[in-house]
Amino acid sequence: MNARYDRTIPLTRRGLLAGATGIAAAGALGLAGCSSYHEKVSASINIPKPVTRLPKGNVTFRLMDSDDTKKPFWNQFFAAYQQAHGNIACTYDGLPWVKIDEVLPLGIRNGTAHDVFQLDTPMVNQAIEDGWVTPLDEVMPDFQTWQASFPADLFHEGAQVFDGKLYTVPLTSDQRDQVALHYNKELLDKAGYDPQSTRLTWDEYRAAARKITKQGNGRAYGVVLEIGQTGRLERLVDSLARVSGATVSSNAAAAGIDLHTGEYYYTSDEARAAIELLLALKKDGSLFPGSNSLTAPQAWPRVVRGNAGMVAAGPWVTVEWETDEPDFEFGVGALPAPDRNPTPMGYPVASTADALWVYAKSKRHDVAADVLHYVTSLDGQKAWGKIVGVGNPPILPEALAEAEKSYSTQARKALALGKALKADPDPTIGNPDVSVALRMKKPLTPTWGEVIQGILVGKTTDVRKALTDLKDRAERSLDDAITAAKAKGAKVSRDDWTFRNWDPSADYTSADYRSR
Amino acid sequence: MAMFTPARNVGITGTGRGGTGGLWARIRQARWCYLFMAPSLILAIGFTFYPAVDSWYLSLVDWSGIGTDRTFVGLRNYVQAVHDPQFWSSFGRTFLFALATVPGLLVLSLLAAIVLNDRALRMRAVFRTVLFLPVVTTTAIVGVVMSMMMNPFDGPINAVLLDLHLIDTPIDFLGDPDLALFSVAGVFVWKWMGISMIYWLVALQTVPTELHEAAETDGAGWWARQRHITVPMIAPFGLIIVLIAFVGALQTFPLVQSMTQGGPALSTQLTEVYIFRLAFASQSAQPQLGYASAIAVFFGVTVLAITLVQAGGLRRVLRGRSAGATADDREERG
Repeated sequence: MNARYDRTIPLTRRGLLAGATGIAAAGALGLAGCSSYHEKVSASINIPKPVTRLPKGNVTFRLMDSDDTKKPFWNQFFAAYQQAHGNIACTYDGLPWVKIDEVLPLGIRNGTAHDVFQLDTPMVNQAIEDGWVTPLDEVMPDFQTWQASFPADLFHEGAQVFDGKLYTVPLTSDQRDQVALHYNKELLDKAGYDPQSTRLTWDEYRAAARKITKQGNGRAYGVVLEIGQTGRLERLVDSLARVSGATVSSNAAAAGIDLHTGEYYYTSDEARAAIELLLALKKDGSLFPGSNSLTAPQAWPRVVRGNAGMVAAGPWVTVEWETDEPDFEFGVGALPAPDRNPTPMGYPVASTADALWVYAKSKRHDVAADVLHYVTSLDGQKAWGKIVGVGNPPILPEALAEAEKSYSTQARKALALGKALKADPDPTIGNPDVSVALRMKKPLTPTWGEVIQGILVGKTTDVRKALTDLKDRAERSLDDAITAAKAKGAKVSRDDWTFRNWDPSADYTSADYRSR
Repeated sequence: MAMFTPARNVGITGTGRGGTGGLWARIRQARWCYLFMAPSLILAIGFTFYPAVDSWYLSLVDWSGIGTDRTFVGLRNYVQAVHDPQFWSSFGRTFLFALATVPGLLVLSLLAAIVLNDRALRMRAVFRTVLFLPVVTTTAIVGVVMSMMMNPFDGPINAVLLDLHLIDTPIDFLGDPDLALFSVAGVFVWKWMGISMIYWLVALQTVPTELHEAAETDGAGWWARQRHITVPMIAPFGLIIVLIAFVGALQTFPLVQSMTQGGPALSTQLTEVYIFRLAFASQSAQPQLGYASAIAVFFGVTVLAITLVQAGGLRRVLRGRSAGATADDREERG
C-alpha cells in the first residue's frame, strides 16, 4: 500500500504498474476501496518555486488519502517534487476508507500520523476538538490571497471552517453522479435500448433487463447489483427514491431524512417503490446470479465481461473502464426514473470526504503548505483534472473546463450528469452545532443498507414491519444524539434537519438558508 | 563466558516450592531460564496481556476510540450488551458455527490421520503435506479464492455439481442467508482440518503396533482393530483436540470477514465480526470501542468458562482412565 519514491531508482511505468497490481491484489482481498487505478494518463507537472522556506536537510513527507483514481496524480506529482527538492522523500499511502478509519486514530494516538491526510466525516468534529489538525490559516503563507483563489461559496462554517478558521481544502468537486447507469453497449444495442440518448423509465429498465437476460440465455443478465456492499445499496435506493420525488438529501449529515418533514423517510412510498423496483428485477430473473454477495468492485467487471448489461456506478468506473479496458464499448446514462419527468438528484456542497487536512503535530508544515499550494493552484488543478479524470473533477472551474477538453465522450457524459445535480441543503451549514449531535449518534444495527439487503436476499419478508422498525430506531437514535449534544452545550434541535423551503429541482443557496 | 548448566543448578524442578534460599536467590539460580523466557514474555506482555487488561478497562468507558473524550460508565456497557438482540444473535450464531464445524473437523481429520498413518500407504508424506497446505495459507486469500469458487454464475464448485447432475440450478452458497453460514463453515473445516489431522497423527503414533499385530494374528479385521484398539487408546487425545478445535471455531474473524463481511442480512455476523463492526467499521456514525470491548470481554470470559469446563471434564476422564489402568494392572499381577 505504501509507495515510497527512492530518488536513486527512476520511477518507471512498469514499477508503477507493479505497485498498482499489488494494490489491485489487495483490493481483491477486500482491502481496497472503490476501484483500481491507472497510470496511462500523464500530464507535465512543473514544480514551481516553493512558497515556504523548505528544509535543507533530508526529511520525509507523508500523505494519505482514499486512493480511488487519485493515486496516479500523487505518483506523478511526488516524482516531480522529489526531483525538484532532492532532500525531501515523499511517501504516499492510498488506502480504502475502512483502513483510514483504523490507521489514522492509531497514528494520532502514537504521534505518527501522516503529515497530510483525508479524514472521514464522522471524525471531523473529534479531530477539531482534540486538536489533531491545524488551521490552514496558520500554515499557508499569504493565507487571504490563497483563500480568495477558490470559488466563492466553497467554504462553510461547520464543514471546512470551524470558529472562523479554515481547516481543510477539497481538491475535487463532489458534484458527481455516483449512480449513473454504466452499460455494456453491445448488449443494450442488441436489446434495442439506448439509455444515453433517452433516459430509461423504470418500466423500460425492467423490460431492457428482461430482454438482455432472455437473449443472454444464461450467459448474460440484465442488471448486476452490489447487494453485498450495503453502503452502495443505500445510495442506490436513496437515489431511486429521489428521482421519484422523495425529498431526501445526498448529505451524510442528513442521510435518510426527508428534509421537508425532518423525519426519516424509510416508510415513505418513494422508498418502498425503489425497493420494489429492485425486487421486481429479481423476480423477473434479470439479476446477475451472485449479486447477493457482490461488492461494487466485484460487480463492475461483470458488465465488461458481458455477463451483465447494466450497473449503477460513479464516474470513477467510467475512468477505470476507459483506461483499463480500452476496447470495451460502453455507455453512460442517467439512472432510470419512474417517468420522463424525474426530480433531479443532488450533491453535498460542503463535502469534506475528499479534502486534505494537515496534522497538527507534523514537523513538515512547511512542505505541507508548499504541496497544498501547488495542488490547489490553477496549474496543479489542471494537472489533477487531466490525470485523475472525471472520477474526481477539479474544484477550480477553469481547471475543470481545461480538463474536460481531454475527456472522452463517455467521460463528458458522466461529467454532464454531475453538472445536472442540484446543491442539496446541509444541516451543518444551517447550524454548525449539528455536527456535535452527529458525533454523539450511535450507529444503527441493522443499518438502512442491511435492511434493504435483508429484503433483497429474501431474509426479511415483512417489509413494512422492517421499515417501520428501522424508522423508529433511527428517530430514537437521532433524538438521543440531540439530547447528548445539548448536554454538552450544543444548540441543536430536530428543526435543524427541516428545510421546508427546499425545492429539490433547484440549487439550495445561501439565501435559502437565511429565509428558511 | 559462563556455561549454561541445566537443571542441576536451576532448582525449579518439582513443585517449585522448597528451593534453597529466598525468592531472589532462586531467581538468580534460574536466571538463564528467565533470560530465555524473556523474549516470549515481553511479546506476550505487549501483545496479549496488556491488550487484554486494557480491554477490561475500555469496557468500562464510553469511548469511540478516536478521541480523548472518555467517560467512565461502570458496567453500563455490559448492561447494554445484555439487552442488545444483535449481540445475542451473533453470540448464538457463533456457537452454531462451532457446532457445525467441530464434529466434521474431528471426524474428517481422524479419518485422514488413520489412513495416512498406515505405513503401507505410498506417498503418505505428500498427502499429509497436501492436507496441511490450507493451514499455512493466508486466511484472507483462502476466503477470497473460495468466494470465487462458490460463485453461482461461473464458480467451479457449481460447475462440478451441475456436471454431475447433483443439482439442477446453481447454488448461491454465500448469497443465500440460510446457506452462507454453513458455506463458510465448510471452508473453515477444509482450511483447519490439517492441523487436527497432525494432532491425531501424533496420538495414533502412541498406539503400540504390537497390539495391532497381535489383534491381526487373532483374526481381527481393519475396522475391528480401529474400533477396539485405536479409538480407545487415542480417546484422551481426542478430548484435547476437541477442546482446541472448539476454541478455534469460536475465533473466525479473518475467514468470515474475507468471505461475507457478516452478510447477507447479518446471517454470518458472528461475535468477532460484530465486535469489529462496533469498534472500527461504522459507516455513518461514531465507532463504539468501549461497548465493543465489553462484548469482547464478555465473549472471552464465556469462551474461558467453556474451556475450563471442558478441561475439567478431560481431567476427570483421564483420572478415571488412569484408575482403570491401575486396577487392570493389579488384576494382572494378582
